[in-house]
Amino acid sequence: MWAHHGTFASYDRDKTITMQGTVTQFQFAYPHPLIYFDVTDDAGTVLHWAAEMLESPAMLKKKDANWNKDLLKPSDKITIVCNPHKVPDAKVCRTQELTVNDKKVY
Amino acid sequence: MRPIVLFALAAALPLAAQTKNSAAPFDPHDLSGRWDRTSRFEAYANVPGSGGRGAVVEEAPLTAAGRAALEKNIPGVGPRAWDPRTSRRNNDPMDTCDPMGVPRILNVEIVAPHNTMDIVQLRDRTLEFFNWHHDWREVWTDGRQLPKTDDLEPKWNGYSVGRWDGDTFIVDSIGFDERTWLDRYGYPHTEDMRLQERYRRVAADTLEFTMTLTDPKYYSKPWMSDQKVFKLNRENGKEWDDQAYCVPSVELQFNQLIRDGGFGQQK
Repeated sequence: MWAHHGTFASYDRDKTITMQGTVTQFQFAYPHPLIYFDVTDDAGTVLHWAAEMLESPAMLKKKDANWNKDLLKPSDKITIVCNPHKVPDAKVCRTQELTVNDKKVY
Repeated sequence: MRPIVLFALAAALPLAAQTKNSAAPFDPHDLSGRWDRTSRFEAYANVPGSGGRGAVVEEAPLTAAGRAALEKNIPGVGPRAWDPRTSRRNNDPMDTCDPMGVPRILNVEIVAPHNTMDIVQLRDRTLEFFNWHHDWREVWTDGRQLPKTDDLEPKWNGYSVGRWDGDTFIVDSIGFDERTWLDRYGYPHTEDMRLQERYRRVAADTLEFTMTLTDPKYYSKPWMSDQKVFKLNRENGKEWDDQAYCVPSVELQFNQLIRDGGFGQQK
């Protein structure tokens, strides 16, 4: 799969992390859609995360007609598998798999 | 004579048969339509790291000055890609919504639907419209010659004139703004670059073209691209899904939070 925008270099593509969280915002926008979500760690601390989609909105719509700006809403429960960012403290990752309210959508 | 015969045949066929069948009749001088880039790699030519599997990889014929200019261009992809953990920053003009310019706009996208180009032939010009970044260029076909380079202010897409040589549509261009890259791997050019594009409609649904640039300061000899292939869009006539502009305010935020990993970092 080709990334149409040069963000490959930002992520460690040899690693994946899996998180469960709650959506706070979904930006179905260019250059790439972004999912903002909160994750509560073992100590009870709420961590704010962002996940990038590989494709543009138009590419996602072509890939799967169900993709649109309303696919994700605040308070949706998600499980995400993603590549971590190379910057150690960054809470940003690139989406590889996404389940929303127990339904796999990506 | 040929167009009359072909048009008569075409009129008797359903539109779908005319356009989606490579054996269907066609006028080789009719380039109009919606075309998709189908090249295997997204680069001016199949340079090292461009991902063109099975094709001949060829080093660009860079001069020493060209090599030095290339090293200053730090892309987001390929063997020379930046690393966000270092101070070597990505400076791809596309990532700040700068115009991509010709020839990058011709090779930048190979993934649908952003690989789409519309060609419109007018009496005095041929227009090319590009889905990605919602850009367009014009090629003058009214018989004018290229002006002298000294008479031109550099432009993002250059200044282009077109003519027919048999069934090949030849576009000659000069007057390019040297801030643009040839492709996403950062290959440079100077304001003195001359570009020739050669288009041939070889079937009802297939358009082929190659590019050759001449830029002696940066390239030791004329550099010809691989052969690019466009296929007639199977959704010909359907509107572009998105107006895929590059929006600077959005792109800037994306760079800071996502590409550079700024989101969630401890300050």
